[in-house]
Amino acid sequence: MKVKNIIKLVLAGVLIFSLIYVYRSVFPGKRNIGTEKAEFKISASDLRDSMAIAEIALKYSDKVIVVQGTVSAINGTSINLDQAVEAILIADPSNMVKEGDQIMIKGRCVGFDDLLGEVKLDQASLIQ
Amino acid sequence: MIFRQLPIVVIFLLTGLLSAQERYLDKSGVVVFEASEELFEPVKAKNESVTVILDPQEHTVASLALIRGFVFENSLMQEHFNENYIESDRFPKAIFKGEILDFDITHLNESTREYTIRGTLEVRGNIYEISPVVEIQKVGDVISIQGGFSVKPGYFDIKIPKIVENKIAKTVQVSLDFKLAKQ
Repeated sequence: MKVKNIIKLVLAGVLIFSLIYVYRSVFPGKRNIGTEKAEFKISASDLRDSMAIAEIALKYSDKVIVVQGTVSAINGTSINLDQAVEAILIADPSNMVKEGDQIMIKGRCVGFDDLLGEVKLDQASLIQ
Repeated sequence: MIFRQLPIVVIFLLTGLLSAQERYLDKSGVVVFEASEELFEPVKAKNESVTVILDPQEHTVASLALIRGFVFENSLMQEHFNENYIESDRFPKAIFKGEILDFDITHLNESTREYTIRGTLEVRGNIYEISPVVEIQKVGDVISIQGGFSVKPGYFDIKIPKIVENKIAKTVQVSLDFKLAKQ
């Protein structure tokens, strides 16, 4: 009788885990860029020069990358590096950086904006 | 001898400065699109990295939204959107170009006024004419534009597979929220 109960418990456990697994496969939630490991580390101006070429842009598109450069402007939650990369941050950075600072930002490479000749980065955060 | 020509030189310099093109720019404009069907999972995505440029002299607006910039709550839906529906590796951007009808920047102030922007939207290599109605106001050196329009996937040759037809609304609602700062 005891064994029967243990078997029932185990089967119930397996069933619950299977249901959770299937649910998570169908509704995976939002991608968490902050916890993903960066695939590339590159300077802002090198990134802009690379992404201006459509074929090379695909290499970085939708990837999590770390970009380093000098702050040329801060606008709300956006930081512009070397007038080459516009990064939209998750949190307001104005208390932590100012124009002229050399910083590193981790974010998702969204693509190349050819209206302004800049790369867009989103879901970004400052790296110490 | 040079002093005789100085006034003319000064006038040329001044007109050069005065005719500098003034424009308004937003690099983190917000565009949301929604095509949800009641009873099914919401089909909704938000792009917070849209570039919008307004030229007050020409009354024109130009805007670029990177397709990858549209973030869905469900990352699987986002993958399908990019890979199957839009093919964003082939068509990475949505571009809008238009003219704001009856626009005069000197008439703008803190109260919102309604305007129509007549223009074209290009997605997936297909161009479609749209005329979004927007509310525009100006507070200090910032012009804010809010409004929306609706389109159908068919306008841009976006094919919805039969198997999900019922889960996606026939008409996609698009909303805009831009804050353009003077450059």
